[in-house]
Amino acid sequence: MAEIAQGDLKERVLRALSTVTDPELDEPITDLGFVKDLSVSKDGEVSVDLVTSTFWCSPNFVYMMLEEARDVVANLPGISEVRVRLEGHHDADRINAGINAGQSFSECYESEADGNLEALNRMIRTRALRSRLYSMAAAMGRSGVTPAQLLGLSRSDIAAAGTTFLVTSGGTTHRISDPADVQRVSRYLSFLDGLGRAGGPLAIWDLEGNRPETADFGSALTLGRLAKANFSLNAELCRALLSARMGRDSSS
Amino acid sequence: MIIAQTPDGKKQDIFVADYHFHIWNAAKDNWLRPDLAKGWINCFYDYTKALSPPEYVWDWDTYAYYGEEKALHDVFLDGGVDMAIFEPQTLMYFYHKGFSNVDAIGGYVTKWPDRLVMGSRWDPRDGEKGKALLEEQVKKFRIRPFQMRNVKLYTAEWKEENGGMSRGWRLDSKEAFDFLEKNRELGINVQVAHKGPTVWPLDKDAFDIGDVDTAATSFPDMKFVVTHIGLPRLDDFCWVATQDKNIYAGMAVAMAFVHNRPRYFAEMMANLLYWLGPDRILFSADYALWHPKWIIQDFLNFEMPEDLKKEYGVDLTMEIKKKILGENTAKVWGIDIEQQKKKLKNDELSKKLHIQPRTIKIGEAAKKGKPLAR
Repeated sequence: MAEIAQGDLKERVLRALSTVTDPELDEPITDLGFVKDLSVSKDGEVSVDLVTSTFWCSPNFVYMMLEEARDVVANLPGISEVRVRLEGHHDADRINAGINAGQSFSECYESEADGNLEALNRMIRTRALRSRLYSMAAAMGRSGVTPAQLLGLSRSDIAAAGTTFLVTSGGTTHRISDPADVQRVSRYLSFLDGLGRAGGPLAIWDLEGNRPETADFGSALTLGRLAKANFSLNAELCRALLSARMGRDSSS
Repeated sequence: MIIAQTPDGKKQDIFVADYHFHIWNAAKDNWLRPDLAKGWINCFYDYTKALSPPEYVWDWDTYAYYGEEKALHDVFLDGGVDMAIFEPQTLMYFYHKGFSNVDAIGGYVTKWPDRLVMGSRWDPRDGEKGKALLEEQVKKFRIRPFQMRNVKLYTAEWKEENGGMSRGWRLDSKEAFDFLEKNRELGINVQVAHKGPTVWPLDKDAFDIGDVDTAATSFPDMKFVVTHIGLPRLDDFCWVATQDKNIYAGMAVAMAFVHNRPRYFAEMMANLLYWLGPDRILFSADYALWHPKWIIQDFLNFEMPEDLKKEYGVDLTMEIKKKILGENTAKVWGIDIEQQKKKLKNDELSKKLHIQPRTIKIGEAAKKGKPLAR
């Protein structure tokens, strides 16, 4: 019985970790292969070993990712202790000590940092929002919802129906059923809902929940498309680098 | 020189200039701080392995230090590159004698001044000493009009300073602007900006190219090449370069996607052509990260997928490929292509290595619309 419960706990820890994204890539760390090892004791002690695609990943984004990984696991019921360990990084010792002592980034880096990571976090999350908005708009377009119509929608005009989404616009219902498009819509909605803006407009352009400018929505979507292209390129490069890195580490 | 042969039997000459070329020394006896020195070269090696055809990946020791002879052979003979521009990266905090420094490569340039182009570097933290050194280098290496026209500006360089360690600098600082003034005085009008993972203060985005934007706006007479097209901030780069017409897309690293990530390469090219147009994109194989032999072959055979042509309204024609491979760089560095072509037919290096124009058949190895790797 204890083993089953423990297996279940490990499963929940992994699920929690899958909600953590690499901020620079907007993809889950579990999909990127960054979770190298995970152990969960029967007393609820969790140890997560993480690796990044290179030895030189920016300490600030790495810190964000580790803090989030630590917190989502610590918030699960049945967890007594969480230890997060970054491997193979130029500043691993310092970052590990800071994360596991609960220090903020500025406490960890003292005179080398001017402050904490809020501004950086907002910058990168705004890009994620815009990239996801573009992807959703493209998915909607394929299902017959024009960008102009999308701008008029509220969050409540879209609802999940089984493995599809139903969008109500001007009295007409459109169904989004292509699995890749469903995924695109779902990723945007989880971001929007994460901001706690369930009552507002569906399409927003910043973290404050402001709508895109109606007249400029076309160019806004072009920027969203560029943000998405950038995330995809970086993520692909990181996957390729991590794969090369793992190959090297095991052969030497 | 490349001779591109199309299926209709037509041939055309293509002049190739690589703006970002290295001869480095990362052999173990040059490691000053072994963890960092090893971490640096291993990271390079991973980049190489990630994007190269496997037969072009060397053993680790050769990779760490391949030397002048191999570099000349690979780039000019096998690769068919006409001219290569040095971009030093000193990393004195990691390596005893530096990773790739001006002194080490200077001798090669004076030996082959029509093939190898000298680029130097500076660091605003070097102050007056750094400026004096730059002056000396211009005197010593301006042996052709296109020599010593550029500096590589690596903003993430670690440096011992006031008993501590400083992890980088910004191009929009007063000290950096002093150096840019010095560059203007010395006619060093090409600034090759290269972002790395650290910069002071550490809570700021090290890859933010806002400082390049500020410098490019303040020095409109100068040209700024953003190497690896601003990755991982391609979106910022495109936006900034759309506004500052003196900013160029340096294709080092980005170019290597062409072989085993063609769809990603296509998206990147579509965006660059859409935002910047064809006149501000500069080719590089980033040797020895990647070998120009396969990169040029794949690039010449690359075709923009139909869906992206339609979506972005751009194409990658042979005329545009020629611009990217050499004509754009020649303009930026002030190289007269016709004059240089004549010179290189029978220069000392051509004689030594028996360099002949390299014929590449177009249309044989074309990878048309390969799907996304993932």
